[in-house]
Amino acid sequence: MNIIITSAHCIHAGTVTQSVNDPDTPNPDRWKKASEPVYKERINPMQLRRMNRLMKMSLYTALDAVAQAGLTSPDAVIVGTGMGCLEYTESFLSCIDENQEQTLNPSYFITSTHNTPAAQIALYMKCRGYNSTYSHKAFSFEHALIDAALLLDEGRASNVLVSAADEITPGYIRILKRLGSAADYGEGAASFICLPGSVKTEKRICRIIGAGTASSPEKARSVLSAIFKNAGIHPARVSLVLSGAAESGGERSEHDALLHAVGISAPAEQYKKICGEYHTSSAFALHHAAGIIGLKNSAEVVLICNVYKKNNYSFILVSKY
Amino acid sequence: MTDVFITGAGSISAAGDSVDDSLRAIRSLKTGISPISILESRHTGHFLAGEIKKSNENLAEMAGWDFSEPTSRTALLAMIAAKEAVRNIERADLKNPRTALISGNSVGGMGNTEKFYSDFRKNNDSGHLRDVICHECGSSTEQTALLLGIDGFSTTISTACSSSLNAILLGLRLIRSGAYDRVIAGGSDGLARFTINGFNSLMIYSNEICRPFSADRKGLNLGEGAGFVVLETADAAGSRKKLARVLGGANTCDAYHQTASSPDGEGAYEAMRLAMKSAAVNSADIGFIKAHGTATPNNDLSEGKAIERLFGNEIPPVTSTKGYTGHTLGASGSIEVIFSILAAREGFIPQNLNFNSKMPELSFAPHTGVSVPATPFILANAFGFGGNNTSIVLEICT
Repeated sequence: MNIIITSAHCIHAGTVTQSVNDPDTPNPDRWKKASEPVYKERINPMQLRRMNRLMKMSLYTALDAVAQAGLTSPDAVIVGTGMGCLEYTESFLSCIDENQEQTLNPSYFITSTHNTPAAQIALYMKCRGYNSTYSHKAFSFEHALIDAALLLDEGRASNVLVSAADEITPGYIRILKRLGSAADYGEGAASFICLPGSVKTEKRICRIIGAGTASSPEKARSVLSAIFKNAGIHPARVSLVLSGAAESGGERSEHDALLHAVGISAPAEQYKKICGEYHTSSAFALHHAAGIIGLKNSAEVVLICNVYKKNNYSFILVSKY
Repeated sequence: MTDVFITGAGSISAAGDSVDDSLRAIRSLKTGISPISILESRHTGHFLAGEIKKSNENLAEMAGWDFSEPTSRTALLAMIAAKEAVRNIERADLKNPRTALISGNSVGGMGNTEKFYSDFRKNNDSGHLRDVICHECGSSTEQTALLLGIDGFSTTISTACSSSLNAILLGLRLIRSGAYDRVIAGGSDGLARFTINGFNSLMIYSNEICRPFSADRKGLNLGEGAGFVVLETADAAGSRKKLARVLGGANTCDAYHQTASSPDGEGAYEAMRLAMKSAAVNSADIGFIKAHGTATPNNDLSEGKAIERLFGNEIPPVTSTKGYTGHTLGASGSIEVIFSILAAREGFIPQNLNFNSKMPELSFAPHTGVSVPATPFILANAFGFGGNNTSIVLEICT
């Protein structure tokens, strides 16, 4: 994989300007709510009224990324979302019950589908090109990136907007608690303009040189080795790992053993301390990695390694050059 | 470019539990649409739907899945169809990392989630958790991969009603990129109160049987099911019979309205035009068009206009198979591609059921009667909410 990221915008719970070694102040709530911008600065207020939070967050990041890249509309839109439009899904479910399946207002239903963020972005920017949505749990964003790389390779698009969007609701948090989850949950949206790796541009903020997913630690090792082999760089070149693994416990030791086995000895930062746990948190990590890479004398090769439910690993390898 | 063949197919819908049953239904013009009797809803007994008359427990038995493991109807249907599709493939070949699984669905485990939510809404400490843990779209794909023994790449696409056709298109692209030799691609969706009430609230759920491309059409009937195909290179296929070749495809966005299609069918037109371009076929080459044809006033008009614009005065036979199965949402694209291949291989074009009179706005009527496809090329459409339009072009192998 070889994609240039030329612009990025991310809405999340923390702030990305913190230095790598300065841990986030602990949040007493287990819900890390995204700090949302003033949407009407970018989105038409008339249209804003008809949007749910996930649509607003994703559209705002998309508009900013597109504008930063000097575009009015991308050639293609690909979105990853693990849970889709949770708030409106719950609202329509409540409507069905409250009104006993009669005389329902369709507005929650029509914007409850998982492809709503991608559709709204395309509609708002009048983008009639390729449009897809990946919803494969914690791999949703990585798979959107893999499709984008393929599309650019095929020459079907000269630029692709890749976005990620996940929201949380009080109901969702309650369910996660009942399921016994100990994680601090978060939410957010992020958008990136991707160009083919061969393009010469001044606007490059980082380069993605590999991405992959695996559903077992054994498989993860071969996927990660293949990423380095295909990228043509040695794992020892990694100077920072942005890790989505828990801080301690079995998941952590398995994660450390995996990285060690592949030959990575770089320090790891727990990026979920900032953004919280959610299906597309690796999009936050990519935005964070781009920020770090942009600093003077900073890491030049960053590996994003997410772990979800112990066995599911995903990787994004990011390079300065 | 690498040739990509379809060498296996599996399907379950109201038209039949297997590809053989489905073919019998299409050949004998037998609809699977009937009053809802399995799903528990206020509309049970009178709303018409393409419902598979089996409980989840029965479906689990068919799939060979341990029913004590939490799972959704969407997942069970996917497992049944995917298992049928791969019946001629060795377990070791499925386990090979060069085999991938791509599945599409629109509402994931909603059929269970809505049961959970009824209790949960009243009291946040109630509701059976086993009914909600399979909510995610990706859950059914994970379970299907587990049952089939696929541990290479697997993913889930959710582009509403074009989900499974996009899964086939991605499979084609991934094989052509050289990343995989074999992709099991398709999709599934189980009937749910959520979608029935959703489409009903939009006033496009017909209280009569759906009549695609008929002037008196009143809307759609929902359906449920799953369809999967095996996409392979010629090398990977070995001696397996090649049913069809996937020549190309395209995905576009209408960018017109969240749920409605543009009146001139711009997105549909572009999807079909670009699919034919990528397949290097001309409009005169197409033997028939397997339309999305939901029987809503808006879809059929918009799709019909797009077909007219693209094909001019030489419109090939156009058929919608929604009359057999109802609209199976995310599964419709792959199920209907399979129906088209099955029929065309037997030398006939699936008939568009329940047609009464030509739409005054269109120059053509859908295909009824018995006829042999004039060419081996099929153009297949699937369009969804959000303007997600996809078309692919297939060639039947002899």
